[in-house]
Amino acid sequence: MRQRHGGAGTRRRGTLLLLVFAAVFCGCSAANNSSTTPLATTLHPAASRALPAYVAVSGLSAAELSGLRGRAVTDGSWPSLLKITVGGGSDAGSGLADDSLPAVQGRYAVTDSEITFTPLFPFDPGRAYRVIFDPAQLPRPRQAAAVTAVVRLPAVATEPTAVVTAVHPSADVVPENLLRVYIEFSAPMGNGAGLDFVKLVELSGSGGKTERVEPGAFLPVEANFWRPDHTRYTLFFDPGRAKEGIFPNRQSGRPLRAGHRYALDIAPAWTDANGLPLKAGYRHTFRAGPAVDEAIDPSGWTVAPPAAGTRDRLIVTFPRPLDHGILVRALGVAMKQRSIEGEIGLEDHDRRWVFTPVAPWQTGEYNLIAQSYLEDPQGNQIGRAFEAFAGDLKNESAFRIAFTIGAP
Amino acid sequence: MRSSVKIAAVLAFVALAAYAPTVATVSPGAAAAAGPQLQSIGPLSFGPNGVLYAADSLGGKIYALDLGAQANGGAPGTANVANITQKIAAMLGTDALQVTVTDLAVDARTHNSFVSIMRGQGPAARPALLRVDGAGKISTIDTGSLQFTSVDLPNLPAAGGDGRSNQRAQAITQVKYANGRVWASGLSNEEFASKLWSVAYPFTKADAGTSVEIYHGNHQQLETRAPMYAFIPYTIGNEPYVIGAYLCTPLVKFPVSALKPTSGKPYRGTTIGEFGAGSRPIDMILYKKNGKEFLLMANTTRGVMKIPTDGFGTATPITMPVQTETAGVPFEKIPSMARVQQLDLLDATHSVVLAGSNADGLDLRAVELP
Repeated sequence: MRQRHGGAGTRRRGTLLLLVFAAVFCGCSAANNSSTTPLATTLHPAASRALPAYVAVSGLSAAELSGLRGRAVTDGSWPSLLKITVGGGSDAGSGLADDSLPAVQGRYAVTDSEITFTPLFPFDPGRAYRVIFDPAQLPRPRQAAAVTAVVRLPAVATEPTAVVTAVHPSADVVPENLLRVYIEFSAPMGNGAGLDFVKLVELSGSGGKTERVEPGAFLPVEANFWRPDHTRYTLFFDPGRAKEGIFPNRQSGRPLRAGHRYALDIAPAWTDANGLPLKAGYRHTFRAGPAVDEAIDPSGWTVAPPAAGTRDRLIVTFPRPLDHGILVRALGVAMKQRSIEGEIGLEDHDRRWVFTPVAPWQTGEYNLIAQSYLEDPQGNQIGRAFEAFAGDLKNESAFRIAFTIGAP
Repeated sequence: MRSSVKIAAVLAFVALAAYAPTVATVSPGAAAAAGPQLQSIGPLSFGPNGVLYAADSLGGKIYALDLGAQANGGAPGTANVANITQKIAAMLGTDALQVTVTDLAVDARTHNSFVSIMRGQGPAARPALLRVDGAGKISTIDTGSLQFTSVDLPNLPAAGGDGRSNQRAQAITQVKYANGRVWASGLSNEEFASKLWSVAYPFTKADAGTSVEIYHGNHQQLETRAPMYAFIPYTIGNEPYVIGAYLCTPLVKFPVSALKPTSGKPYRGTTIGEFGAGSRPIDMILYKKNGKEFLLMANTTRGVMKIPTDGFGTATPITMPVQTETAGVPFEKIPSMARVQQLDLLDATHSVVLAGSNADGLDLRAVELP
């Protein structure tokens, strides 16, 4: 972490002082101290990622600052002089104002005019922090009361805005041995696991008005199934129930049963990266169809090559939907073993993969490359069904489908 | 235009690329002035000489951290700390809801406990490592100043496209050192695999590690592909084994000597126990009590189980569907160890656990081995 020093080249404090959010002045002119400048604690907002928000104490004399300058940045005696804790009494709003809680960890520094404290992790937007500066703990103690302030940075967001934008597979009918569902959001979400916020509801009766929650439908795992930007969550159905014959399946059956209608209900309580709930809940309805328990067979794919000299789309059509997430990285195009750069799109509920090259197609032989880890939403791979017989297990490999771009 | 569709022969270079890890990068400690650039942290595991192995799932690396002077200076042992998540949160300037504990590991030299966490929510969450000593004092470890080496985790190659659409993320579930190698299990937010990866330690540029797909049989002729969740190195008859625990919760053994990616087929482990559905394993430790050895395994919904290891070598493999919820090697539930979320061996007589819930906070406790 950056250590602050006074002098040229440090942050432009004149600008930052316009952005003071809390300052408490101590008008005490210490009887035995020559300083008449009031003590003030100030929260300076972040100037950049490299210069995070920090707390500064001003109003100290040059002699007082000089007496502190030799103290190490993480010296254990600093918090008795300047202590920052989470929460702020009645102003806390966080439920934390417990004096027994340890001080916020960070680095102390002495500039030519201030003591500064930069927390180990940036202050949370909207959170209240209590700042206590005790001048009696200065190397030459001032006989004055401690200065206390509650400071906070403005909250980033206060109104829920995030919504569910899509659920994949998106088709109206999905196989009853479905393994994997993707839930997409309009904004980054928090760390919460989907298990707490998603329910599988069986719809029956006239108009599907009778609802029954299917318990234990999903994999009991709270692992980080978010994609890196936290806008998509992967929900796995419990494979122990989706697979035939093993105990959970024989005990409870598959969570989905062919011919039945279901809703995937997503609760609005699911919180986003700012800790705010969704703007609204979401219901995705679908019907379960027969299980698909066969390996993916690329010989059933059709490839519609475009004309040479164009950037028209290469269209690959599958007999059944493949996995929405894996399709965009497990399928590609190569010419003479060189990968072709382009943009991938998925259509028709993931039954169609379309590829638009960056450069126009050339006349000649191309290959569609399918990595062996390509799966359908049921977990079946190329040449290997999710439930494979012992003799069928093969070494992993990639597959190529040759196609020709002819002259226009 | 007429399309010509055929399945071409598998090209060797593609096949190799698909399951060989990317080239290991070794960051010599001497050149590591900036320290490890951790994007995430946990799981953790200590190896010989106090090396702390830390997985960085987001950064796609496993680090071998030298804690240096930061390993020392605390009171020996680990004292109980009630609601440690709230205290850690306060030290890091936030509340307990913003703290996600990722693992707990004990340094066998000092018996201090190390807790890895992610602070914050979503893509802005940042890693932190803390030490708890025998007086209950919690210290933040300045990871940025540590000496380290690292190795890249294997990643699946993209077949093409623009690369920006790759939304795969991996979650390492366990890291352990044994017999000169670092082992890691994990799962992905996309494909449903059953890989166990290992790499020689000290890390070298020549060894990028090997990845073996392990099936386990418990289902007549059908093989089960599932991610291994927790494992522990174990020795049976002087031969090194790995004992792995899967979801819902088969216990599987396989000899290390068989874990070769060149065997031509995925490796098939031997299922020796079934401990019930609807649960996942968290951590496993080995210990001895009254001259007998036990495996202690923490699970999410089925609690802590104590499993005598004397049957591991001779247990009858489970190859048919079990007719009851549990089968195979015997085990005993330990109801006194409730709501355990992290578990490690503290010393010869005690384990250390993080127990509680995310909502109520986690307590750090030393618990006598059952």
